[in-house]
Amino acid sequence: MAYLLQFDRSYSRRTFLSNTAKGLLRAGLLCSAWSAFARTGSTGTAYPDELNSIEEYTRGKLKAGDVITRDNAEVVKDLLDPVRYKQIMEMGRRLTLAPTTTDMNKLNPPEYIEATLRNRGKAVFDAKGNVVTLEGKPWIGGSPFPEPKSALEVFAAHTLSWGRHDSSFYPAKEYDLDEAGKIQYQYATGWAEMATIGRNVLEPKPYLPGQEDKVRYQSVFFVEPNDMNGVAYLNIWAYDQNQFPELFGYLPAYKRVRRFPTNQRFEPLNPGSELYLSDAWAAGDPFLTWGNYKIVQRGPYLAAVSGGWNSTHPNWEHKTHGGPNAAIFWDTTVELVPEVIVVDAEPTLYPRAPVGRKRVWFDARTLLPLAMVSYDRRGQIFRHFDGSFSVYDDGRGRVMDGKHPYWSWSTVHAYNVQTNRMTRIEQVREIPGGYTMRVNDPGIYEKYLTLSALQRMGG
Amino acid sequence: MIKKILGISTLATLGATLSGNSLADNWRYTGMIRQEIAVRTTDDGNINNQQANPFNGQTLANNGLGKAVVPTLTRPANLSADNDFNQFATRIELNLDGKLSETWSAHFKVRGIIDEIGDVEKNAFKGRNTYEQPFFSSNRGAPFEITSKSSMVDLPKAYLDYNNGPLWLRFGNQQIAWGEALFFRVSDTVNGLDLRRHLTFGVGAEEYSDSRVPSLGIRGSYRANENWEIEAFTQRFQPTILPGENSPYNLVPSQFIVDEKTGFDDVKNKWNFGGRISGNVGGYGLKAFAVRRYNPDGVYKWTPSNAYPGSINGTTFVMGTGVGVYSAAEWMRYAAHSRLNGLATTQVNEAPFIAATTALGVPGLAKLCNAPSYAVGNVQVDTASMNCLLDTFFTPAAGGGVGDLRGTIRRDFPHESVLGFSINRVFEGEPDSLMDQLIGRFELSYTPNKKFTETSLSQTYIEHNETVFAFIFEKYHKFSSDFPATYFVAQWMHRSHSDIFGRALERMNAVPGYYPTGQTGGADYFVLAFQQPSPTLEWRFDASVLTDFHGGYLMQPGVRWKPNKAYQVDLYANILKSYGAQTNRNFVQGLENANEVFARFTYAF
Repeated sequence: MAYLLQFDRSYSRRTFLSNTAKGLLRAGLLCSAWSAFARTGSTGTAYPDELNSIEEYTRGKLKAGDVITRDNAEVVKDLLDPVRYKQIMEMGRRLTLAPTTTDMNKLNPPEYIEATLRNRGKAVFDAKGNVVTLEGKPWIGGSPFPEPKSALEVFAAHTLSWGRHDSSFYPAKEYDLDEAGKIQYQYATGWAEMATIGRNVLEPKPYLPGQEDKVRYQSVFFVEPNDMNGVAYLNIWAYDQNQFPELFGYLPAYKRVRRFPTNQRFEPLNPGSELYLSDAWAAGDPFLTWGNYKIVQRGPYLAAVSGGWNSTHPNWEHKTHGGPNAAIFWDTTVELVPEVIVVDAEPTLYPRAPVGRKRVWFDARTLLPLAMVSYDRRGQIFRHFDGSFSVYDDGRGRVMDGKHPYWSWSTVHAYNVQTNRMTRIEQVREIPGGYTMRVNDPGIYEKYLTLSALQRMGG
Repeated sequence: MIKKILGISTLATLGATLSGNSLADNWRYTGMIRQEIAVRTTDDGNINNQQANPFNGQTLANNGLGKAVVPTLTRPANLSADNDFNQFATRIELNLDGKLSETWSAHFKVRGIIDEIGDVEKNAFKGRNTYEQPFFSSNRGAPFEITSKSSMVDLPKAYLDYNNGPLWLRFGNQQIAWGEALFFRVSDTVNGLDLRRHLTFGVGAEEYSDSRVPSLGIRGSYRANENWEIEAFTQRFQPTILPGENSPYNLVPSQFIVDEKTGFDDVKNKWNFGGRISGNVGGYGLKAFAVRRYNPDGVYKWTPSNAYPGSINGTTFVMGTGVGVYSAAEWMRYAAHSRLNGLATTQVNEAPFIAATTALGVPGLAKLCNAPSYAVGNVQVDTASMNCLLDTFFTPAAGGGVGDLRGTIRRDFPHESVLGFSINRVFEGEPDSLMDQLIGRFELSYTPNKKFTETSLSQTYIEHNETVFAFIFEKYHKFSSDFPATYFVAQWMHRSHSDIFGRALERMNAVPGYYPTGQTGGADYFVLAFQQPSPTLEWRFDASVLTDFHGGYLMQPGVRWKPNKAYQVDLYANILKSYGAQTNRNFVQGLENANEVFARFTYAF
């Protein structure tokens, strides 16, 4: 009886195709996911049961708590992108299943969700292609296109607010593995972001006065190993998404902050890394420097939108598995995401980029990027990225962000399919030197996002 | 003693023991151990050193008045010694950084170096002094160091940071680097250089990070708004530190005795000051600065030799050392090599020395040597009479002379003001075009009444209003989508009155036996460099060429290999060539001994 569904799997498939053909991209098959959430506090009623439960979807073959391995991956092959399927089948990757999250407040920060609901329908593109309010002003907070009508709107919405917070500082550890699955390089880094527009929490809001011509400040710096200690870069993003960000850097060899060209965004910042500036949040470049956006697929997907936080480790560090040293993959929890929008884009203003196209899987409900595959200029799969996210509250521990538990990313895989090299990154509580996680802290700007901060951190 | 404390095995053990990098939550350490080796690729020795003096073992005709008794003059052959290695050193660096509170942090770097060149090149460098300098007690070159002839431990970084909002203050021993240009020091006027380790011949891409000499001071900046920041500093004076006498990269001919102490003592408690304002207007990065400083590079002049054993009191000479100048030919050659006037007679005619040299009978001897003028206080010579006069003195006692002589000079550190500004802009163009993301920079500094060493080592210095400027263009260009972009930098520097080492242009074009004819129109230098990393950045290939418009270049090709998180190997070559007329007209001539291949093997932790 449990499997006598009101809407079977072919209904979902047909409706996804039909909605896409009609240009109806909003999340939800039975009704708008946002409307359902606003009405009931859950996106569950927007989807048939089979899209809200992996057990329903697999007709009982898999359920929350089960582990996907090469022995059962075939059951969920249509819920995986081809690279993750290959990783499971050939490289020993494992994914642990969790129940589907239907509370939007656990898929993004509540303040961002609230602002999205509050500002629904107030965003348009101006003549230059930038997102503005109906009055022609910079965006005022939340997702400008929660129910997108085009692939460009999907990318624009996400690019304007990567981490969904007004400001964030992520201490992180990076591990770069060689072809044999052995850790070759290891780094401790800090990554800071602060929005200048669309601010939901930090005063002044929604704009930082005098900074309405920018989207964000973002910096990354290294504290380990020794030869990278002090290396730091600061990107200042213009609001006009046709412009490249300004890039400043501190290199220990020069002992001073210098301005750098910024169009080389398709190269690792540090030896061994498979992550480029362009890859950040699957939208590391201004969205108008890419083009030919198009939606290529919609449907359910297995992604790590919950359970990514490891509260059992004092520094939130994660366990790994896979390969001869059990070091290739993060232990990852995934759940059935009822609907993703898969978007292709091409780097139109980067004629020499090694990437010819990228394909990004967005959670249709939050437009959060869940995975990305980039293709080289010959059209061959080049690199694959997948991240995990979490509310930092697992019943055993909790990290607060104001009134709510902290929501953020937890881990990232960046895997070069052609060379078999892997970069793993995890958000940790603290990196050496006393750099600890911060969120919506007004001090992040002065501490990490100014030229003097670069000089100070560099030494 | 230091060598005992920091023996190589100790360093290795220490490095191996340090397997983690966390001392406590708010503290971290990083570090590295590195072996640095440079092998000479030329037969040219460093002629500033006794062991490579080309006059060693040469027998020359005596032009002096005693030539009838002693017809020839010979520099001892046994002073000669050859070397294959220019550098053989083990280095350890430890960084300790800690967060004390939300506003305070502490940062330290300990650098220890053992120079093993004396063990590897026993003939040429055994017992030579590489590191000791007399500025501070116990022969220390800087206050925060412990030094022996062949080892040193110092604190290039020892400071506290205070950061509260837009205010940042740094208290302690620190380097301050300013400027747009790389390697060319136009605005980089705050700190001198510590040249004791590898002179300026290290990896070009590392600029002066290892050689900019730190100093105790306070640096602060205040960010007025998003576009403008003001910065100021004050630092205790710290001179540029030169390599020791007869060490591989020694810069001063060892026939000189350099009094570093007297001039330094005059200013050792003085402080330099400076300020800078930085801003961004319409996409242009702007900076303007002013520095009031004691020139750390200093200027040189003759000084009485009275304090030294063998002094001919009241004069600038010391006799009987066995390692001085042995002939007029040697005197003239080294004067030209040092870009000085070998025919100058300031050491006779200037006030401090007139009485003593007159008492020695110099005017009378000048007359006997047919000098054009032999009046007391106005002895003037031509080449023949100078050769005669010099050889008369260099003739051993049996011939009426005093034998070989060393000259005594001192370094002073004049007070000066440096003003300047810079501008930079990122140009935009069609994707993949030459102009796309090209960075253009310009910087200029102006030093009114800047003092320079006189060609005659006179008590009166040359003075000029010195203008230095540089144009810099930097570009990342992708030739292939399979490789990261190639980084190019092209720089042109013009100096109105001095060469790249700060020597007055009056000293250029110095030929043995003649007055330097000098250069007019300034000195110009051009650098072209590139870096090409491999796709994973495991390898990086560098090449740079520094060209002197007066005929000479320094080329440095090299490769860096970083196979994993712990190890790194650097292999570079320094290729120096002075071409055209060999008249000491460019920065290369005299440095050919630094034609070398050098390698660095690093273990980082």
